[in-house]
Amino acid sequence: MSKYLKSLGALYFASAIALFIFIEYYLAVPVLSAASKELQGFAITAGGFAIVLGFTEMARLHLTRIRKKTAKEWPFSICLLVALGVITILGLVLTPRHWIYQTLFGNVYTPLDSAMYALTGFYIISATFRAFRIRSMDMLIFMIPAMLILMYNGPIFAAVWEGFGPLGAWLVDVANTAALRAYRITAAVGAVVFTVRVILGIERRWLG
Amino acid sequence: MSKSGLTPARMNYILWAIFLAFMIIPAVRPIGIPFPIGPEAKHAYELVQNLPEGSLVFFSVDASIGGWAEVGPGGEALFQHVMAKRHRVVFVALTAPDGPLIAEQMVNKYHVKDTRKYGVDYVIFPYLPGGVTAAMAMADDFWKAFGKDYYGSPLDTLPIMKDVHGAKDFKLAITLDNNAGTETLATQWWTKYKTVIISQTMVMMYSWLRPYKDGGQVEALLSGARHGAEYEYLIKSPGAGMASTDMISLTHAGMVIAVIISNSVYYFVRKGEKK
Repeated sequence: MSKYLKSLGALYFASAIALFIFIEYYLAVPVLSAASKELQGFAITAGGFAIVLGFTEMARLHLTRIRKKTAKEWPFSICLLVALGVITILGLVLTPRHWIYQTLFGNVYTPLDSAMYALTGFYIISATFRAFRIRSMDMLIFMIPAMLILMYNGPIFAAVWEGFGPLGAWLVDVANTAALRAYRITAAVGAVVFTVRVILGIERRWLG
Repeated sequence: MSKSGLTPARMNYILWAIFLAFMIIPAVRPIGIPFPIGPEAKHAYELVQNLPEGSLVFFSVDASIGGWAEVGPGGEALFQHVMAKRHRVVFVALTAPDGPLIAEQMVNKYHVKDTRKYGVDYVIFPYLPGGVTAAMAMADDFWKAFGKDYYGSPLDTLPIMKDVHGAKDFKLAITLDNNAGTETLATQWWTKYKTVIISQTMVMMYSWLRPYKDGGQVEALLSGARHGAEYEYLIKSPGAGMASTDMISLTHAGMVIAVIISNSVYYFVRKGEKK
């Protein structure tokens, strides 16, 4: 019963807050705006706690791996925890403006993150190479626009023939965007429906 | 394994080696392949260029450093342009915790401190968690959303902040985005305050964000290093974008050639097998 009442309380609380923000957005009432700003402040604070939660969860996961000596993983977990600890302590004690923190960010984190992102490029190359094998008519239909978009994105092709520009632009701006727009509208309608269900208390799965 | 001993793994290594060469060669010896200047870069350039001097510009660094190779060239070109036009710039980070550090790196890289004064001409704010909520809070009341700037100075000690209260005060909002900065600004800032938005994003996000451009929420949508190169050309400041144009050209041409060759081989092999 107590658990049920707690859930009900959370449900009504969330519905009231959501409804309030919703109404405030459309009605420019100064009193409502002031209260809305306070609530936004709470949300920003909650966002900060989410970062702390992520930090502790990650630390917990990797500590478990080290404790259990999970095969092939625990040495990397030690590296991660050491890096996490060093950067956190430096950030808290010296602040991110300190030259040591800036050096680590500029000379360690920046090249590592860029390299990790760049690595995906090589996998995309091999994946594209395999995906573009024409095994059927469907694959041919799929490949032609894909190749045209490749040619549109590479400036050398427009330098060879100007037509690649408008052709690729049409595929990206009209054909591709049309499909994505449908997807976006569907997702947005879904989000609105979900929000209304939360406000009305019909949607309760978020309570856990 | 095929008769030639060319396994898929070996094929990958060959491909990667070829494409690595396509990236390294133009980096060492630029070829200077020409590229056309598109309307999108021109439009973004005109938006910044036509603002009256000293206009307040909201500059949100919403890209993590991993995607900087794509977002950075255009972002840095926009940064140089707003600074050269002597606009007053407010740096924030809506969706990327790296944002303030990247803003600081740009300030140092382009020696902004020599010509512009911190707190008067520009100010950097820390990352504010909360995404959409944080954007709403900034739009409504900057002073309430941030108690202090990135360096811990109270806002009343920063002269620029006398004119900054909320979204209404900004003539232009720029987002360097490989996350959700464009959507956040379009839905929260444009919808309520009709803020003019320029977005510099990644190529793969272009189509996803294009509806905002078509709907008028985003005034100019730049994507990838290519638009960055175009913007660098327009402000006459060659940088990473123009340097990477040759790489983009060569790798894309390499991909097209590789696909044509492999399909031709595949076609003739299958034809031979049928016989």
